Amino acid sequence: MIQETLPLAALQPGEAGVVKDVLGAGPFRRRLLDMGFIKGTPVKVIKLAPLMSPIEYCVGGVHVTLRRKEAMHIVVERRAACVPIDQHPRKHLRHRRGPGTAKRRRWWRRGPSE
Amino acid sequence: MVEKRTLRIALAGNPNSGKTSVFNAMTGARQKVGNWPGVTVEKKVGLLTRRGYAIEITDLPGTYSLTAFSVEERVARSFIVDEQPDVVVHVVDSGNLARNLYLTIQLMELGVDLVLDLNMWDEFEASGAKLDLEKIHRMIGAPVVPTVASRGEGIDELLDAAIDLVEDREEHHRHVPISYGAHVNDVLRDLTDLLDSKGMSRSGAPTRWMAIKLLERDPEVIRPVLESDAPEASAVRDAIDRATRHIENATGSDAEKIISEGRYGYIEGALREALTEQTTDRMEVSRRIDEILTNRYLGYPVFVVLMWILFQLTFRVGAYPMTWIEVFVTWVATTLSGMLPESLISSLLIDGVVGGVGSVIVFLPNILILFLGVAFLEDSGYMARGAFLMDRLMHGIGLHGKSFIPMLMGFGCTVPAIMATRTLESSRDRLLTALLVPMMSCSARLPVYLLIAGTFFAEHAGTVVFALYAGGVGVALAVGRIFSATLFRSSPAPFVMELPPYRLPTPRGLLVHMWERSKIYLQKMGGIILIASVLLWFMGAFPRLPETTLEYETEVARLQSVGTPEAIERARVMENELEAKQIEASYIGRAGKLVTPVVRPLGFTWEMGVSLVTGFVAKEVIVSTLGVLYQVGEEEEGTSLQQALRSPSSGVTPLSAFAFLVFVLLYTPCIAAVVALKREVGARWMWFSIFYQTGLAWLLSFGVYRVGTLFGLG
Repeated sequence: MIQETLPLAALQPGEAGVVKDVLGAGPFRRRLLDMGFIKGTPVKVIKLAPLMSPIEYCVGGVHVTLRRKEAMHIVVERRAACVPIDQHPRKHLRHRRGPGTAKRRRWWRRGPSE
Repeated sequence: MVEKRTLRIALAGNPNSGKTSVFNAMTGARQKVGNWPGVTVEKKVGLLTRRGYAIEITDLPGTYSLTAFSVEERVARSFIVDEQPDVVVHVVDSGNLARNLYLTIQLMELGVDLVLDLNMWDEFEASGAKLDLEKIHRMIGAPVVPTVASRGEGIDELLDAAIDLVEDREEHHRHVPISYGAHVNDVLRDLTDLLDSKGMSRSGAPTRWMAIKLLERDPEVIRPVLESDAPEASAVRDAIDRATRHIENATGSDAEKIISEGRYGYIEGALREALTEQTTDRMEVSRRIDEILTNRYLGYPVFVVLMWILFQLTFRVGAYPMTWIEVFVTWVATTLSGMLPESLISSLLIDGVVGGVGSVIVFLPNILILFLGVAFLEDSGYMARGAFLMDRLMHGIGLHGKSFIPMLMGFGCTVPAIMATRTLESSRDRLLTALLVPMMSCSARLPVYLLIAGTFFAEHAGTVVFALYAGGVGVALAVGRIFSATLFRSSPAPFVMELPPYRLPTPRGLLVHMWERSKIYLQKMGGIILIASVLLWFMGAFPRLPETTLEYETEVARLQSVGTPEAIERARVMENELEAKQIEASYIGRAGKLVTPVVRPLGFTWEMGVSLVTGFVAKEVIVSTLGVLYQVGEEEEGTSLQQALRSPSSGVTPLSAFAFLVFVLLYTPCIAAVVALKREVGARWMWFSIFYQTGLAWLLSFGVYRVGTLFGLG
């Protein structure tokens, strides 16, 4: 399985990864570190807020929200989710494309980094 | 006879760890709520006696860490370091050990006498997990007590553990240094030795902690070293630089990251040995609830409905007890005036004191209901979901998702809305929200809109009123953007918010929360509002005009004795005239006349100027003042006042009336709201709020009036 590093914000709902690094500096990075975004910690995307940001993550077993911009500062390595999305125990959740994928980009969303 | 000894306990812990429940279970109703000196962070102190100790419990702000980056963390840390409590009780959410123990490690490194409280132990056991308490005890070097604070279980044991720790500290207190890997350990040892040899330790904190903080470049610890001219400081500065370079070269990372990783690594190791993973996921139920409550399509409708219910409960249902209170106050006033002979003292008692007390307790139903609702939202866990939904919208004006509730409540009444800013965690968000809340047009401003819009824009009254509400929101958006780009730029606090599992709130917890807020209102604000009301009454009633009064009253009595319809009518007109003369001559009337030159460029008449000053008592007073000054009597504000305003002799044009509405929308909040502001954000920001709002009101009214005049609307 190919393992690529990418910003946490690029993971789709249902996808999982492992924290590789936290970019940025000062109080901002410090707060992310304090909240458990530590190298080697598994993280999973739970869902996006209806307006695409913030995003709910499960990091080290705790549910935490981050704004999309903030989630760009966390570098992760993609991992298979504990339960792959197409084998979800609840059928209606299978194959559901999360909001915020490229096809769903709306005119009011500013740039690709948002 | 043993003397009663005192014991000071500090309560530390993450937000959502149930720290407040522990505090309430320990102290019951014997709490003092105030603010930490100089900052808008709530400080709660409780007192109790146990085993011959007078115990003082200080509830520290809920924090995830002990850096100096947020006000809350700084407050918590400096209390521990500078005030040196005898014991720190760390309240931990047992279902979320890894993240909670992160703070434990920092407390350990601070060298405090620590008791670990494993709270919500029932949920932890129900999840099927097992924890070896003995192992945790050994690894943390602190007594460990499981509790269920919401039911009061384990609280006595917790207090006993704290007392035991003080009585024979040798047995328990064992400092276990955390290893941060060879490189950092070496550097830390050298730095610690250097600090020790130079005698540069900070009182109350161990030198190793100080060395760690220096490596992390903690602003508060490193600043004295960077700014000092002493030779010791320069040696330490060199050592820090060398150490930082060494760590970066050797590990390719930086000290701050390695230290955070080291702490989590230690916890992970400890839990691997002591914790048997839970068999059920405690977030499972919450995730299913969230499939509806934060759903892409259903999330907002549900949120809107919940907010609508909260608003209706607070202001519609709350209106009934408010009416009862008003009826009761009027009854007291009439009874008293029947019993007492008419004099200045009785007038002071009836209009000043009874009226003043009435103006204080009239807000109480709103406050009780709103904070019951807010407590429910917070304790159930929905508040965080609401913030999750609203953050994108609120972030646009530099606010936090949770700012939504105070802003919404602002449409009802600014006083409870400003008090509701306490639900925000960061003091920056709290301040900015409190400054914007008064822009939300409160219900006391509506009678003014209805009067003026009904008089001058009868055809489009609804549109005008709506435009004012929307205008308030628009101004708040603009001001919020400006403030967060200028005054509040230096606070890049990320939106790292925990979504706690949903819980059913306990009635006891809800009532305690509700009562806490209402007590603050009655104790800390009620008195000031009362004094201010009496003062404003005095300014409206004095100086008296004894000669004019006598003259008018004789004439009125004469006319009434004549008894013809024309004479009665004439007597009524004269009574109104007297009232108008009285208020014109009073201090408040003089103040109004004094401000008239200032509001003249906005097209306002002096009557409007006076009414704006009396409107500081409460915005709806503007209507009755206009009624008195346009001599139609206080009672008949309806059509006759409209006619009086519409007649050319009033000097009010539709354009100046609209400028007046804009001014009323934006100018300084009423006295009660100003007192609430002082209480929540301090006197400095209270003055700021008064001046920027009045200035903004003037500018925008001026703009409206002048542009309107240009287009020939005047």
